[in-house]
Amino acid sequence: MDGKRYLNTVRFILLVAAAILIAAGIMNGSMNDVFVKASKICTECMGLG
Amino acid sequence: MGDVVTAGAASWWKSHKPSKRRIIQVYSALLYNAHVRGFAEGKIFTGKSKVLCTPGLNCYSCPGAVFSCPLGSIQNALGSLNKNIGFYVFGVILLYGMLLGRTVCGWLCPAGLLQELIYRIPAPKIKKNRITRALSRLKYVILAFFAVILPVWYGMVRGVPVPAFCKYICPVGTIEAAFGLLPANPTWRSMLGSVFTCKAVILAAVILACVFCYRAFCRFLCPLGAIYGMFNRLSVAGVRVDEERCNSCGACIKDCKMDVRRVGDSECIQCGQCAASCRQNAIGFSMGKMHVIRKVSAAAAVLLLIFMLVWANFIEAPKVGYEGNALHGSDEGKVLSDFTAVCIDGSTFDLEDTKGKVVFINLWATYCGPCVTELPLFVSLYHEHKDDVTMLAVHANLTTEDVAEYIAAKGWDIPVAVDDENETIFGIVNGSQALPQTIVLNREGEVIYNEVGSVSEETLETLYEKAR
Repeated sequence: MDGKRYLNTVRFILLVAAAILIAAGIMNGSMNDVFVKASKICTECMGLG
Repeated sequence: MGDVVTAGAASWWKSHKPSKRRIIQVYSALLYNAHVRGFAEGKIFTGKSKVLCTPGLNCYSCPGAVFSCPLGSIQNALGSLNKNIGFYVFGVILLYGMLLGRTVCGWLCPAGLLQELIYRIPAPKIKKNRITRALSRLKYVILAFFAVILPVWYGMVRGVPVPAFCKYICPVGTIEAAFGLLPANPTWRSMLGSVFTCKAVILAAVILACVFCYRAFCRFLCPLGAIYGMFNRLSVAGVRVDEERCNSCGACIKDCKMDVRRVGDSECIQCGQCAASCRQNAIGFSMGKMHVIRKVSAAAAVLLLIFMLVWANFIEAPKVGYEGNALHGSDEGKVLSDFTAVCIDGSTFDLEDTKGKVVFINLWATYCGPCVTELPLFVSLYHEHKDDVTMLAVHANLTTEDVAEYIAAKGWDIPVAVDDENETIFGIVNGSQALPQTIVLNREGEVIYNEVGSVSEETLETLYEKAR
């Protein structure tokens, strides 16, 4: 397999993996976790402490 | 005369007009922070768009932010790996890395834009050298220690969530969130302590460094740049060198202000400025199959920005807190409006029944490190003065895990309730979007303390004595 085809294959696999992870995250609630933690902030987490 | 003025203006515009890259940088910064009214009101945006992470660094505690910060989200996800694996944020980072790599840094990051503007301040400039190249490794150390190891250690082992890079280092958070929220929330200034002082010093040092050293934060400190840099050679979009045309003269490397060894390596922010240096016309920007994005007209991008500005500021803006009447309210000296809450152990908390006792109300969340650190102090106080004190710990309406299970595991036996979806209790006590918050009522039901920020054991005792 030449270099460019190999690169494109790796890209394709990783992009599919990203899509699967995002879908899994939506299903297991980790997408909601992102929303929750960005909506009620912890003061020390931004250095107010 | 008119022609001379017009020609002069045209000439000025020709030499000063912003590049396409600069326009996209400014656009990104505006889009990420479309909740403009947040700066005036000192309130963060809580709309649904915060499920989405921006590609670039933009603190989600910034009052203008309408999306989440990818770096803060990664740290939160790593700190709660034992509770819920953050597939979503890992997938989003992988997606951005694979599609864009450090094109994010060069085109879509407000922090990068700010640093480039600061660099324009006239001053002697430090050119890249062996020292800057060595320093560029530091961001990987910061990524490993502050963005990975510490959040995992504190979250999974110690049970106290700490997004360590956000808390101890991030100058973007300091300038956007801390300085963004403090003017409209003057009572928060009492919270400022050693952590804030250190972060302010880091911010000042970064700003100063950026005057003399191009993109000092990006090159030496940014963990997000470190992550995206690992994808640079794989990313779909980025600067590409036509090897057949390239004569290896090195002009592109010599003229580049970043610590690159070759175009497109992990230090390259894909800005494409090296294309101007190449006399062989061998360098170009490739977007792979994403070239269709070019067909999205500027009008569509502007429409998106207008939509976000209207939606974030007028339609989905945070609701104003409960407004008490002249007698009732959440300010010191006012009597708190009555409310009832069903606790997770099945009991009912009725504020009206607490007259004659000192009341402590604590607003908290399981994902808030200082909250879970201070709650045991409330539990101790409750047990020490059980006949005299009524307590209610109110978890924010948004939860990331089973609060009842969490409380049981911790062994906390004070009344705990979860606020409803309308944030009724938070509204009555003027709960802000920042946690923790403590409200203390005297025996007459009057508010004697209502502040955001952690409290110590001594402070709690003092408040108890004052309320008695």
